[in-house]
Amino acid sequence: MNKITNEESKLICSINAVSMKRYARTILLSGLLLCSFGVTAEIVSIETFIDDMVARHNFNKFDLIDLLDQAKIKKSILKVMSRPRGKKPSPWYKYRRIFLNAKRINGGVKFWQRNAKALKRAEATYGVPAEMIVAIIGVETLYGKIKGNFRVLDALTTLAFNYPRRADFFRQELEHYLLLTREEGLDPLAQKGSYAGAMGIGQFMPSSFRRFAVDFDGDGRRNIWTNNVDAIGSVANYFRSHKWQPGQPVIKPTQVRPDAVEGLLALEFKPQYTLRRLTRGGLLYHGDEPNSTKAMFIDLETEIGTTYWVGFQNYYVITRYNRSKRYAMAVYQLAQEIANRYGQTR
Amino acid sequence: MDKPVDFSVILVSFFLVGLVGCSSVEEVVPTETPPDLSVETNPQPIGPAHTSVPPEVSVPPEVPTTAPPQETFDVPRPEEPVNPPKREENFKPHKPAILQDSRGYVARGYAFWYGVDDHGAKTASGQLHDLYGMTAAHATLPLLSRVRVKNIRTGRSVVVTVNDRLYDDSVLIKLSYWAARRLGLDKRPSQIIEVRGL
Repeated sequence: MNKITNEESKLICSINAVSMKRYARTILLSGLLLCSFGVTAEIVSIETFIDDMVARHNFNKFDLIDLLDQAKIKKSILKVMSRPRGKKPSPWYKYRRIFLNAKRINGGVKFWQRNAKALKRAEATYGVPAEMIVAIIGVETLYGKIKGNFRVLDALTTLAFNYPRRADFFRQELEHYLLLTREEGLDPLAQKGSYAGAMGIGQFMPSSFRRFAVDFDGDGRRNIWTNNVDAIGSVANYFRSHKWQPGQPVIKPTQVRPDAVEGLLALEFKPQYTLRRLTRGGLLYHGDEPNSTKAMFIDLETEIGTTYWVGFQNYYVITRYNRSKRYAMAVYQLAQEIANRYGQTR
Repeated sequence: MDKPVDFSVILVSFFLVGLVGCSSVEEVVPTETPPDLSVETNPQPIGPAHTSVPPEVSVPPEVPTTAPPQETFDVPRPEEPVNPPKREENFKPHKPAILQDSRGYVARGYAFWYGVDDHGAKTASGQLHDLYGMTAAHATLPLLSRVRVKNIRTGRSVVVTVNDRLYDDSVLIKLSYWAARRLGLDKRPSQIIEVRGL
């Protein structure tokens, strides 16, 4: 699930109102030329995609052509996505400031107070702490305030057919989106989301929506756009489905033998190593967890130097929302801060 | 009363130094040792002309050295070997008593904070030190008690949990890096802070 940055440019350049039926290839070509990608990956054409959808999911071909005809190619999205890659990301402590600030912490306390009942029920149903759910929603959309203003259909169509690097992924998401709008009886043109197609309070991608979204208030609809209760239940279900372990630690500070840092950092970004194995590799961990506990090694840049951490299964679950060690740590620390503040104000 | 007796004794000893000195003194001394010593100091200013005094002095020392050892012999034995080491053990640590309750505790002083190398170390409470945690080490406040630490100059304050023991009394409290930073100590370390038990 992609993080919202809500940086929709005011100058949205759109190539629109061109009949897809006739000019699909032209759009495709112009899109490619405009973005001047070194195209190596194969992009499936819209026509092929439509035929596929008709064959596999029984869509009406002409309705689908008509619908995709109305999708606009957003140049601004392609611009955002083509930001120089490989650039060294900003240090952790700068990233941290975006989320660990008074506005987001206090907003989380208020959100918790307003939705205390649903959060308590989610905690009981799915075993996911309320503060984790609140923190995810806080980091993703500032508690539902910034959900993205792109039409999901525009975003997904743009990326599925004009962004070679991840075209396969976004084409699948477009497929899921079309299915979910049909299943849920939603207007595919009306739904809003981020520039990457992430939707609602919890920023679910269409595939995640179909698998993990729940109707948590029992009104018969999975409304993750405007219904906090459904959003809370859905985030909790997402965590539970990715094997959140209730009552287990998320991440703990650790020391490390200086000569062992490189070796430990070379390990996989997955909690697949026992503490025994990591200790043999030079980890100096003083926690109480049994030696057989599976963990992973994390380094984060602070203002006064690099710190090292041991991430557990629950840390990894947070990275399933956004595969970034900085993101997961920010969510965790924000959750701690909110829980601390909430406990004081309660 | 004593003085005339003393003079006579002195005279006797003076004339019979080398002849009967040993036997006669032994007899006299046991009964009148204290008077002997007290008079000794007195006659010195009176008769500095006597050059034969030194031999006389050399005699009495023999007497007290033989006599007192017999009395003190029993007493010093237990005193000497046992007492001195005991004192060292008792007085060395200077451990201040750990307070039972942090409430009502107020103190002002300077603060120090943990470095990045302490991150992940085990604290006295068993918790792992977290650079971003709101924790502190203190000499006497009970572990896991909460205190408000306030920067007197700026008025900013934070609440920290005491989770470590401070054995160095050069500062009042040792804060986690993040607590120190929130108080603005990282920019100006030597500011007076107030610690108040909650």
